[in-house]
Amino acid sequence: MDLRAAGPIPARTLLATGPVAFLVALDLPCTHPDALRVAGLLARATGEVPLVIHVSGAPSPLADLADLYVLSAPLRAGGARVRIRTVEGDATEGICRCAAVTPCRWILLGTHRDPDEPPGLARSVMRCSPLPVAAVRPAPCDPPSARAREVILASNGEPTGGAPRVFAGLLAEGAGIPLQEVPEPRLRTRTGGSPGRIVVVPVDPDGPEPAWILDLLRWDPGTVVAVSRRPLARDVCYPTGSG
Amino acid sequence: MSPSPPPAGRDRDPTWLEIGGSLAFAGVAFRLDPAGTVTQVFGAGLPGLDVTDLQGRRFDAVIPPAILQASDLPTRIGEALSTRLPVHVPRVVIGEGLTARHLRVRIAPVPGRSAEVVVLLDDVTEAVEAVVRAERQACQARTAVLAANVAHEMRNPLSALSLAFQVVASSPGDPRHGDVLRKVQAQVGRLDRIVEDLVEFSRPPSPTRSVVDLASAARDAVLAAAPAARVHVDGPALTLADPSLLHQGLAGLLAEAAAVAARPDGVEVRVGPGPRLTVSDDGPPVPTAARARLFDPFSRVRTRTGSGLVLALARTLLEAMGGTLELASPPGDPTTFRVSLPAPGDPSPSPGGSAGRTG
Repeated sequence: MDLRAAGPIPARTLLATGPVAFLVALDLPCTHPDALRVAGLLARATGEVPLVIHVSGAPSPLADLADLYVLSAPLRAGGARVRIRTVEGDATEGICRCAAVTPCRWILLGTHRDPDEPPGLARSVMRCSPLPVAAVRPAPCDPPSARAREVILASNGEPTGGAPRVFAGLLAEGAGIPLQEVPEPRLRTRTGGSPGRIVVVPVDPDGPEPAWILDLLRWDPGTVVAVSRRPLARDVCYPTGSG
Repeated sequence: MSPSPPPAGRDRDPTWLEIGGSLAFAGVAFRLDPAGTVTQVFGAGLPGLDVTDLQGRRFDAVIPPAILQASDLPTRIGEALSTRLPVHVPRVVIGEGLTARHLRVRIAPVPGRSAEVVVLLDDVTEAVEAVVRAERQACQARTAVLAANVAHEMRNPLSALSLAFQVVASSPGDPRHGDVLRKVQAQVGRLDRIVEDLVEFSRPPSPTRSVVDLASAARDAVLAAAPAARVHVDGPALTLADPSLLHQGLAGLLAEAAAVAARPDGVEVRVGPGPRLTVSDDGPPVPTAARARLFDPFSRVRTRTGSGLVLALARTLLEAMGGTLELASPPGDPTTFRVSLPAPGDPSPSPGGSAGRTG
């Protein structure tokens, strides 16, 4: 299924049809809490409602809803609103379909860390969806409650504008810290990562994962968030994240 | 809508009984198995939701999207199942304007079944509309009383003015006209006061709160409204209030007390300790029968002069700042009013927290 032809849904339309949300797709039962930590920062910065979903071919939706409710508890801290849903079907198709029918601006996916195994689902969702997709590759050592202490927008000579920059800016705003922009060669020389570091890397949704990002996963112990370069929904007035 | 006959087996299931059987409701109750399939249905349905369509199908495929979205049913089901406690949503609005429906949603986990729930969607539109209708009627009744009082208050000076003009017109050049014109001026002043108080009374107060020394505020109000009143400070009395609204409220209260006091120094103000004060006077006590309407606009329980809005306005202003004004003296005793205000550090009053001013 290719939903890109429709293009991003204008924000005005989204606002007219319901509360603006962003999609958080979780794998059950082994979800890494890093995706929810990143979702929490995004929710805090945008005020948008996280829609936490699980897509499954052979679902037991009621048990899944109970699991999703428990998993999304950190997002509800302070009384924030969170919606949960289960979707039946193929994972890629289900996520893209759900994003297409929901007033939604971002898709967040929790994925694995292993650089030797490509994140198949994240790449296929990036290809399929017209929305920017953020694939969270978790920090292996960070405890679930680790505070974000650094948000870095990394590049390797490619342009870092558009959705990746906005996303990184929002994470920094959500964490209440300035966004740093560091080119990859210098990033490598920084003292080897610290707990609470989040590195945002822009990726081409239709191309392979660049080698430097795979290297980054090998030597940087922080959270790496690959954000696809897709156009943002029109009318979105987000901060530029350059602060 | 009347509930349809209960499904077989309902009587043996305590959750089903609690949710579906023991309540009279206009809507639908259904039971979901772990796959989210509707296994039992009870009730007559809802607009756009036919109970005959529900049985054997997945709930999120048959419940209309508007109801699913507004009630956030999947999230509530997840909450009920993970906490093992019933989830109750008192009111969910479906649609807008005249066609809006109001639902009450209740979801309860089935005891002994880890992933089964019973869901009740109850149409409470008629009950909600009845409450809204009653509130609207009460508001109209209050407005009618206020309008009648305003008309009555303004008719008196207008009659006096009309009479004065007749006197002047019937005897042109009469040297006593100067006297008549002074009376005209007095009646115009009275009308002006009524209109001024009405404008003040109808304007929503928008307090800007800061820390204020209540003793200083009371002394300022005494100077402005009842210079002969005695002020006693029993302890420190800091409050969080709007200085201007506080002055206006206290000055009104003191002016009313001075107007009825038997002696010029018959008014006494006691401040503190804490953000509270009392205003007492040696005038006639408030008649027992009139105590309940003492703060009503135009009730004129204590004095026949003035606009009849002073006490109502004082209470509105003090309540807008999160405070209270009440009659503290027992029936038959000399009158004492008690003012309580928030202390610094108390939470701000909610925006809608002030008393209505429609009378």
